[in-house]
Amino acid sequence: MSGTERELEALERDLARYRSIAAPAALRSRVHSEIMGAPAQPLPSRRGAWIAVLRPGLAALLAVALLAGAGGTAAASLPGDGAFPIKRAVEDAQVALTLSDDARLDVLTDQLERRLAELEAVSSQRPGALMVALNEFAAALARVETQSDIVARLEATPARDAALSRAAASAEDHIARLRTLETRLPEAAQPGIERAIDAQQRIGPASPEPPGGSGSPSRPGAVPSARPTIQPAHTDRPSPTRR
Amino acid sequence: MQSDRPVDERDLARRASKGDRRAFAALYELHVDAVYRYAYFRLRSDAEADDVTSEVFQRALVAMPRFEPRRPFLAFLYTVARNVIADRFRRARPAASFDEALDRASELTGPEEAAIRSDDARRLRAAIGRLTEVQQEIVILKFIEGRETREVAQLVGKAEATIRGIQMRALAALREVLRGEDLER
Repeated sequence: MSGTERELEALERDLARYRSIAAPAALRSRVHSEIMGAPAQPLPSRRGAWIAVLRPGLAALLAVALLAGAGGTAAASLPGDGAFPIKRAVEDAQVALTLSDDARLDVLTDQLERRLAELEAVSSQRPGALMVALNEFAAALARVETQSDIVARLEATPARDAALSRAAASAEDHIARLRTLETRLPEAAQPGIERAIDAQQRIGPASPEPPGGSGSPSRPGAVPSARPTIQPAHTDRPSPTRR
Repeated sequence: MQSDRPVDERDLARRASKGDRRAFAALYELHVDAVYRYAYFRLRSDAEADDVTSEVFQRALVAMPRFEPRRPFLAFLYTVARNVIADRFRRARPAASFDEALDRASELTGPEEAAIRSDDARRLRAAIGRLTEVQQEIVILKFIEGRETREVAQLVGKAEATIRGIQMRALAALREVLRGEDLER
């Protein structure tokens, strides 16, 4: 075994001792009380067909009303502009008024595409608003990720599969565009871009198995599969967070 | 992942998704420490880890009527936690870096903060914060939590072979960051 492998094994053993960190007793107790005292959540009910018909119309109506009220400038606004919150409010309304989970994923995927286009525009036109645009993109990405997760758990239907495929295909395209952006953005924006690429990879198509499949571990002495018993290794421990 | 009680957990999840608050509280007791550790190592302070842990269970409770009980509940919680943390990063001051956060931590006073400052958990937490998001998740889930590669793949949403390929690189990256800090000290 090489010195590097020995070092990594030692680090691996060292990391395992942090498994004893637990939620502080005061936090446990508080959150437990919050759970038991929270108002009941209504179970999802089947909405009438008329709502299904009215929803897209309501969304369009709301969008037109809001955009007309803002002089039509909101739709063309970029992150950091005064009218941008209006554009976001319209988008949130569209999501709220979309009936099915797979359709909602489509709407959120469209919004993510818009955020990326805005990020690209801001990076060349308004560097001062770059971090705002990056944060807006990250937020849109988090929404797509959450919704993808919800849709992935649904029974397979053509609509569900199409929505997931579209989100995955869009993620692949976004990764390529983010990598291009990465080369011309300042260092402060790099971690945000890397996090976005990571998140897009989670949404994108699963990585293919390499030759040899899922057989042997990548190196000898891999981590044992069973969770070892937690025993303090030494006294210099993260005691403030343990019970 | 709680392999000694999969049947109970699925039943609890099924009951919780139908509004059984006691069942949800039981799921909370099973997983609160794992969620807390995930938040602890992905964030900068104990206070943030506390807030995120609380928010994860609040959001999970709200989402329970839509939860699919056949899915591992912990995977669902990690997804919620990831999104809660992403939201926090988004709301945070854009230019704030991990280094700045640590500088702020050194301004804290009080016995607990003093203990944290001197603790190697803080050093590890800072080092993990310098990894990419996927590397952070793998270090936490695989090496701190001690979960199997198959389970990590499920939790992170990547192929098992991909995780197997990344995990040693993540560990090596962490070692490099820790080594760099040692040289700076």
